[in-house]
Amino acid sequence: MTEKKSPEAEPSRRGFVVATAVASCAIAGVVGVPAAAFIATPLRSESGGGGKKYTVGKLDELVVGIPTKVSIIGDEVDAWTRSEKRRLGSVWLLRVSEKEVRALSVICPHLGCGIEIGNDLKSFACPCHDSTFGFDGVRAAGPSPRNMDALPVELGEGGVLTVTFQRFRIGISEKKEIG
Amino acid sequence: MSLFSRLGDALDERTGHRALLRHALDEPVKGGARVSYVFGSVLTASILVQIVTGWLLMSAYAPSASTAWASVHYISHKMTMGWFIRGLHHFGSGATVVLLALHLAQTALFGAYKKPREMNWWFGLGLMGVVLGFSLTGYLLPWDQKGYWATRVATNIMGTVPVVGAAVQKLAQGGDSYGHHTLTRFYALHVGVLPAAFVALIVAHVALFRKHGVTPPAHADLKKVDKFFPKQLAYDALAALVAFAVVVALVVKDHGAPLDAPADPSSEYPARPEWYFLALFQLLKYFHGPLEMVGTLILPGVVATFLFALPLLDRKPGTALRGRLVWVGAIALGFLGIGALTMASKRADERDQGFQKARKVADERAAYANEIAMKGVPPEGPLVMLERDPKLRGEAIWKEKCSTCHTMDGKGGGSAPDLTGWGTKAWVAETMRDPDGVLRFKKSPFAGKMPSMTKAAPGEEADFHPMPDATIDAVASFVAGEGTPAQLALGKETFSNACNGCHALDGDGGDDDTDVAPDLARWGTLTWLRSQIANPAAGDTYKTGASDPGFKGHMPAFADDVDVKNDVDLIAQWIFTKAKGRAPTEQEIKDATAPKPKAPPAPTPAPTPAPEPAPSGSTAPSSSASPTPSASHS
Repeated sequence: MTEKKSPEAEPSRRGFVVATAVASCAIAGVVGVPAAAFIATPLRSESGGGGKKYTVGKLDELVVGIPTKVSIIGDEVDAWTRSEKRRLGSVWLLRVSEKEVRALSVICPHLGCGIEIGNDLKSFACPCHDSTFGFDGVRAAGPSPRNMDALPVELGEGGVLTVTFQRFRIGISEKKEIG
Repeated sequence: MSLFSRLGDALDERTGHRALLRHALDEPVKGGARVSYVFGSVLTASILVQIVTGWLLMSAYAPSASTAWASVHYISHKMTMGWFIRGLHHFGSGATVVLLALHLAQTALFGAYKKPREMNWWFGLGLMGVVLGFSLTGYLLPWDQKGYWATRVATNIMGTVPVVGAAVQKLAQGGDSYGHHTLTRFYALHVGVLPAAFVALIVAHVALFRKHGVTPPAHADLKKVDKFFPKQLAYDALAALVAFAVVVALVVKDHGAPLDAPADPSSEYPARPEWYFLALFQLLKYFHGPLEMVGTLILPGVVATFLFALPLLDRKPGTALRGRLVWVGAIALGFLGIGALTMASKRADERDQGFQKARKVADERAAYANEIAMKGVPPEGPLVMLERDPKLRGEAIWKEKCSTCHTMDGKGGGSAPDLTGWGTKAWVAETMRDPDGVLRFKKSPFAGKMPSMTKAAPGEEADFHPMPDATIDAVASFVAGEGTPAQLALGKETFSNACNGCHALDGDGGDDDTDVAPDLARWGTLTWLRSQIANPAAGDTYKTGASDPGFKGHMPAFADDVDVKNDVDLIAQWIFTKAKGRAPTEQEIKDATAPKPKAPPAPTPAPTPAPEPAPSGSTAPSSSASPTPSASHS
């Protein structure tokens, strides 16, 4: 500092500095803290997890050994919008035997692309990074860190199939549900 | 040497930040630091808060006619501290305008517009224009009634400018009327163009201020020189804190910014601009017809031109107030005028009962819209949300279709029965006593069709025996289905003797098809009411005779009405609720919409449920080249 510090000027100078600091910090704090909370709104998890159950069709519509992609139709709340009877996603269904159906998420565990039937028509393949899976969902080749994600499926009265539509974290080897 | 100062040295060697900081902080304040110099800095602080809160709002706002209101509602009601952030932005904008006026007043009073600071005065006026532009564009963005109608007035004023008006208005609106592009354009101005213009002007404004320094009062001791830091900066910071505290207090007091009902082009709305534009608004009331432009463009133009020309008009050297009384007086007069007009506008609204009433209706609608939006807004937008809302839709249909003939709670047409208390015992009793009274069929085409149970028809006085009150009460109990078992039994018996000749019960009794007495088996239920609204002559209530053209003005079948046919259930439930003072139960709603059993009563067939959507089963992927015909629900 270039200016001379006289003994009596010092406290008042300090007073000004403190006043400036306090006032600026007060304003910054009262704006900054709510601002951080505002931006962090999405971290306040609202979906309880567990996934909801959706009716996806009937058992006799499926052929043993041949996967079928079905849509999940339901209501959705996206921020302020509430929409009804929307396509929320799809699920692969595979009738393993007369009385048993398996459901697999179409979302590739690698980086989240939609899994399709492979060119050989005998396996699942991800069109993005060439992960391949058997019809049973077991990883065969490619970068996917885990098998395709199985979803709980129930066979109800009259052969009605109900799938629990869950989503899982992408890119890790464990199957961990989101939400 | 400490690590901290060594790091500082290293940084300074590379950036020269110390010289910069010194330049900023050691700015000489000629004549010493003064509280009267705080306004420019406080204004800057206020605008910084606007910028930060504006960024935050941008992160959650969606500018389109179907999403703007809903996203603002979401910010205010669902996001953490959203009400506070939006409140800061809303009240902060008002504070900015106030501070701007104070800054202008202070610099004008001190003569800071004079040579050599003319350019800086003009940059300041430019900034004022930009700030008012922020206010105007920002007011529209929530797309609520208030912003929508106030801004429409402003753009319509643009349209009255000679020659270019129509084109300017069309450009501002993004078309001939308000819609998506009005919002996207105003949004682009508000968050893109105006901020850029603001930054350019503020840089020039501050640079010139630094070049010329403060304008001390004429009597100031110029030998005394303070540096900006720390004294003036402390004054500035404390003043900014005071202004900020006022804004926060307003935000907390009102729990954030208001959000009016969603913009509705078809509504009548008592439009008022934001309070700092009220003076301009009031001015519009004084000039009519060809003089209209005096209020909208000429007077504001004169004020703007005067402010612009001030440094050129007042050229006498020196800033002493004595030499500038005319000019300072003119500015003071301007402020007084704005104040007086603002007060006059407020006063006029306070005294205007029509306005107060309209405002109350608007406030109720706003509160209700905000309430039902908590459940989410349909993708089509908040207007569709309101249209589909049973309460509002019911009210609207009642007003438009029913109350032209029927009365309820003292309001309505009066040519058809008063439905106040319909469905109750009291209503039946009143009908039995005075069927041709003003509350029932007096002005309707059915007047004279039903005899009174207590008054003799002219010429029949000799044979007439009025029905005793207790019997009337019993019959009313039976028809309305409310009363003690004894009453109901007596009512039933009396009904078969005295009423069943005209009124059928479930098709039993009554006359032929030309009979105009309604079947009373289900009278008072939602089922009866719904049938009556859908088609009064279908046999469930009245028979075909009731729709005879001879009964001029008979009730129409609303199942055939294009506006109402999809809302018959809704309006039936609305009237039921209003008349009986309770909402129908779920069972009642089910009964009213289910197929009715025909007489003689048969077991109710279970309504066939709509077939569940199921995936189309023909999706064997292995046999086709494109093997994933995503089996959507049919």
